[in-house]
This record gives sequence, C-alpha cells and structure tokens, in this order.
Amino acid sequence: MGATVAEPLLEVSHCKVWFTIPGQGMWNRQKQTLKAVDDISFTLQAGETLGIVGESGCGKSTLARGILGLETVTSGSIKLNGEELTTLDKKSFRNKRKNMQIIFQDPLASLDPRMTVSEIISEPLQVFHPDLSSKQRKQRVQQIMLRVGLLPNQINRYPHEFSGGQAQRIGIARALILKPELLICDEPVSALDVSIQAQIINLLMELQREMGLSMIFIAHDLSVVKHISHRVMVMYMGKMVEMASRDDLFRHSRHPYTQALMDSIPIPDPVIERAKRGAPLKGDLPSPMDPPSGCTFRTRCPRATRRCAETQPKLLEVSAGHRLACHHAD
Amino acid sequence: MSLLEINNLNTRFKTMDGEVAAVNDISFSMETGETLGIVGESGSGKTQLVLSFMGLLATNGRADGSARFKGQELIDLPVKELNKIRGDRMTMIFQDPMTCLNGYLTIARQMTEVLILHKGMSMADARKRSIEMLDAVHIPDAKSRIDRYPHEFSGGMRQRVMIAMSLLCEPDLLIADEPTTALDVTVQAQIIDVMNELKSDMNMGIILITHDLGVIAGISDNVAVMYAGRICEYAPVDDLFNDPQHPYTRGLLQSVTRLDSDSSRALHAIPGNPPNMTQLPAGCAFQERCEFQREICLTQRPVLHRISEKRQKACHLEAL
Repeated sequence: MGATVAEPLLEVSHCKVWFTIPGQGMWNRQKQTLKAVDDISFTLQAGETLGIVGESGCGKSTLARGILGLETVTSGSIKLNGEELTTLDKKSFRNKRKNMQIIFQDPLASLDPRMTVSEIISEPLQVFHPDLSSKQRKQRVQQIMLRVGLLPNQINRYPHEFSGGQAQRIGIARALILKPELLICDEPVSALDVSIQAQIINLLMELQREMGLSMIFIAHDLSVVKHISHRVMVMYMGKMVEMASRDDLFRHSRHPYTQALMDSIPIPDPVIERAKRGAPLKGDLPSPMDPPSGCTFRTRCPRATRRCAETQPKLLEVSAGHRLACHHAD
Repeated sequence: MSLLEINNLNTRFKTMDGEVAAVNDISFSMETGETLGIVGESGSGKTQLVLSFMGLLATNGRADGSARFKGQELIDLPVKELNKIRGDRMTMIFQDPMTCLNGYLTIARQMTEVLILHKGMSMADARKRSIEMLDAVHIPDAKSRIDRYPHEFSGGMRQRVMIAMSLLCEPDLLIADEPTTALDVTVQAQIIDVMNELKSDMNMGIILITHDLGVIAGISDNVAVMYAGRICEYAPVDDLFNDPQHPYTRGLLQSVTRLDSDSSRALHAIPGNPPNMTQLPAGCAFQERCEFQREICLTQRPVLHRISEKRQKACHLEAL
C-alpha cells in the first residue's frame, strides 16, 4: 500500500451502532443500550484488504452491516469516495450500494433456492442496468461465471445442486457482476471444507488483483486473515483494541487480547501443539448489556490492574500506522 | 484384547437417489488410553462410522461387519444390551451442545440421571459426584450452577457440561464429534486443554472427529484420514504431519493457512470438489483431484495396506 496521498475509498469515523433493548421482566421497563459497535474509525484505500477479527459477538458483522446501510448507524460518519452515506435518503443510498457488495458465511442460505444460477447472478444487473438486453445480460453472467470457476453449462441449475464451495462461487459472482469497488466478505470460508477454503481464498485474492477491489474481510480465524489482509483490526466488545499492518500486527502485536487470540489458534504441527500449556484466555465474553468498567477486556486480561478498572484506555497511535488501546502496552 | 476393534465395517443408506455407501470396508483397532483422530471433509463418512457402532444410525441406514468393544460385538446387538454400554462404558459428545442437552431440565437432573441409571447411586451421591465432575472441567461455582438450565450457560460452558456428563461413569471410550467446531478459538483452546487434562487423568480411549488439522495435531496419538467413506491413510500423528504418504493428506496439509508461516503466496489448493457419494467413480475415489493420477487409478481401487510397522495407506503410488 505505502503512503498514498490519494483519498481513501472508504472513510469511517466515530461510527456507533447502538441497539435499544426493552427492559427484561414484568416490572423492569427500563430500556437498556447495547453498544454493538462503539466509536470505530478507520480508512480503506483502493485495492486494500482490511481484515477484521474478534470473537463472536464482538460487533464485526454489525460494523459491516452498518457500512452497507443494513443497520442504522447511531452516530458517526461513513464516506465512500468522499461522499457521506449516513445522511443520504433511501433512493440515493441504493444507487451507492451497487458500489459495495457483500458475501456471506453460509453460501447456500444466502441464495434463493427457487431461482436458477443465472437468475441469481443477473438480478443485480436487472436492478441497476435495466437498459441491457437479455442477450447482453446473459453474456455478462457467463463471463463472470467462468471467471469465478463455474461452468457455463451450470447456468440453469438451482442452488441445491451445488456443493458449499461452488455455492460460495455463485455468491461471489453475484457480488462482483456490478463491478463494485468495495467487497465485504463476512466469514466467507468458515463454513467450507479445508480443501475448498484454499480455493476460495485464492480466488478472492486473484479477483482483487484483477479488479482493483478493496475488501473488508471478516473472520474469526486469524490464520486466514493473516493470509489475505494488508491491514488487520482486532475488535473486542464493540471497540477496536488494536490495528496495524499485517506484518506489524503478527510480529509485534501489543494488545494482550490480540496475543491471546493468536496463541489460541491450533497449528497443524504435533510438536508445537503438544508444547502448548493451558488455554491463553480464561472465561467467556462478559455480557454486552453490562460491560465491565474501564477496559472491557480487563475481566479476562492477565495484566489487568486497578487502573484498568477505573479508566478506559484510549486508542492511541503507538508507532506509524499501529493503533492500540491498552494501559500496559509492552 | 484391544479396546475397540473394527473389522470390515460397511454402512449403507437407502435413499431416493439410490444406495449410498457411506462407510466402506473400515478396519482399525485402538487401545486403552489411546487417542485416535479421524479427519476428513464433510460427507467423508467420519461421523457415520462412529454412529454405526454406537447403534445410532438413521432408520434407513444399515451397518454390517464387526465392531468389538472390549471383545463384545456391537453390530446388531439388541438396543437393551447396547444401552448398558452406551452412556456408561462408551460415551459421545457432539458438535452442538445445545441440541444434546434437554432445555427443560436442570443440569443437575440431567447429570444425576446418568449415575442413578447406570451406577444405581442415591440422589445425594449422584449430585455430589456430578458437582465433582463439573469442577473437573472447570465450571466456576459448580455447586450453585448445577441447578441452572442449559440456556443459562454460554456455548463453551455447555460443551464443558457435555464433557462432564459424558465422563460421569468414567467410560473406557469417549467419542467426540467436532466438539469445538461451533466455538470461538479462545474457547476452543480451553476445551482442548480440558480434554488433554482428563485424557491423562482418566486413562480412557478417545476418538476425536474433526476437520481441523490443528486440533488433531495437539491431542492425537494416531490419525486416520478418511475420504469418500474409506480410510486413505492411517499413521502415528508425528509421521502423518511430517511425512504424509497419501496425496490427499499432503494436499490437506498444504491447503491450510498457518499462523506460523510467513507469506501471502497462493495457497496450494486441492482442485475440484469432494465426490458425489451416489456416483463414485470406478477405481480410486480421489483420482479426479489427484496430481499423481495414473492409468491404474481409474480402474483399480487401491486397498488399505501396511507401508511400515505403524502406517497404512490406500494408494497405488509406492512412495510420495
């Protein structure tokens, strides 16, 4: 990436997605707030891949949905090519959305079982380019199918006739047919078999290079994120706790949560695995309805002190491009 | 006498699309205290293999062959006899703990039931023993938590409860089917840790079914790799990872992203898709995806044979 002076493709500043939850129980009518995404800021350059990692419930998918306008952003700003998205009306937003596409975790669940492959892939074209003739549409569909590794003779089949890996290819074709600038991948390989995961990861990396795509790659598997990302953001309970370039983060991670996440990943090598002693993190995520005071990670953190319970650590730039929110950054 | 000895086990399912040969000619044995890892992709038959000798096949499924547990034949054993073994000497935990626990009953009720039924314990003793077991899997404050319902526990805690429940009778064999797949990596590490601890404490045999090679590496003694309903390679864990001898095993190891490797080169993916189990090709089931495919692979199915004292493989290739 380097130090590009160009305007970023995507600029997210102080983004908050909060949900109001009605009080639980008969007498308790007091509303509670769930801070799913709390004050996240980052930029994404053209052609760059940003990996987002964290445990389930940390807000990584909600952040993605907020960017796409699938969740209402409580406050903050989201700019695509310099244009503010959060204040757009529905119609203008819809036009912007063709520039941002998403692929989901469960490829079969995200395809309509009653539509053929050709109908699924060409639907975005019908919506955004109604002027195309059906012949032109078909041509575009065949082109993209070939590119993602589907055979042209599969064009009239239904989703259930495909394996998970092939279904994910259909999802990718549908997302890319409008030639978007931003592709959000929400756990795109975690439901796939190991041998198929590698195929899809390779495909996404090739497509990115060819089309100059920017990607946000959400996963809980750090080894996959490491493989595909240029920069990585680590989230915990709705907050960004660390963000750095890929090599910087994986070689010199400084947040205890990032370190614990890395140590938790099993490595396919018996000698390394047997030498591991004890799980790096004890306990579960605290309830997001009632987060701990100060640093939200302190209840599971091996380095927690009184200061962590009292003040929330600020997200600071500790070295060039490396942001960190921890009182004990060593 | 081996703890478990499987010989020529076959499992067939009658379906609308014809007969599916889910498990084919499986033979292996394991000893007390041994952990056997079974890896393979979805549909490779790893779960159906264990369900076959646990007597838990779906009604359209039928197993034949032999599976001896401490000398006793399990295939075609009447349910009444099987129930004396299942839950007592041989137990199983599944991927999703929530679907295995009864949401209407407290943990105490579900755990004590096992001990009262199999061990004839009194309620008070069974409760005491259950709390001990919950302590052993590191459930904090087990004494009061035991009276809660499954939905009051997190996913990781529920899986611990399942493990505790399966170990109540100190079984000789624990079968764990993808026990950590539904959990976060941090919680997965905790569960693996607990399993490793109990493994050395209780000296039982464990069959761990998973698609995650990293999980297999840390806990197994021996590993069986399955493809299209057959074992294609069987080896001690170190040999398998250091020197895989079947092209499929090698492909799997090369296609995983590793946290400890330093590169963003293209991954070595195995081309193609897993085969359709209703239309398996003649010869080797892996032929279409194999980079070493030869003529013989198209016509003759390779049989699982010994390649050294402790290793077996099913491949026409002499050495990889």
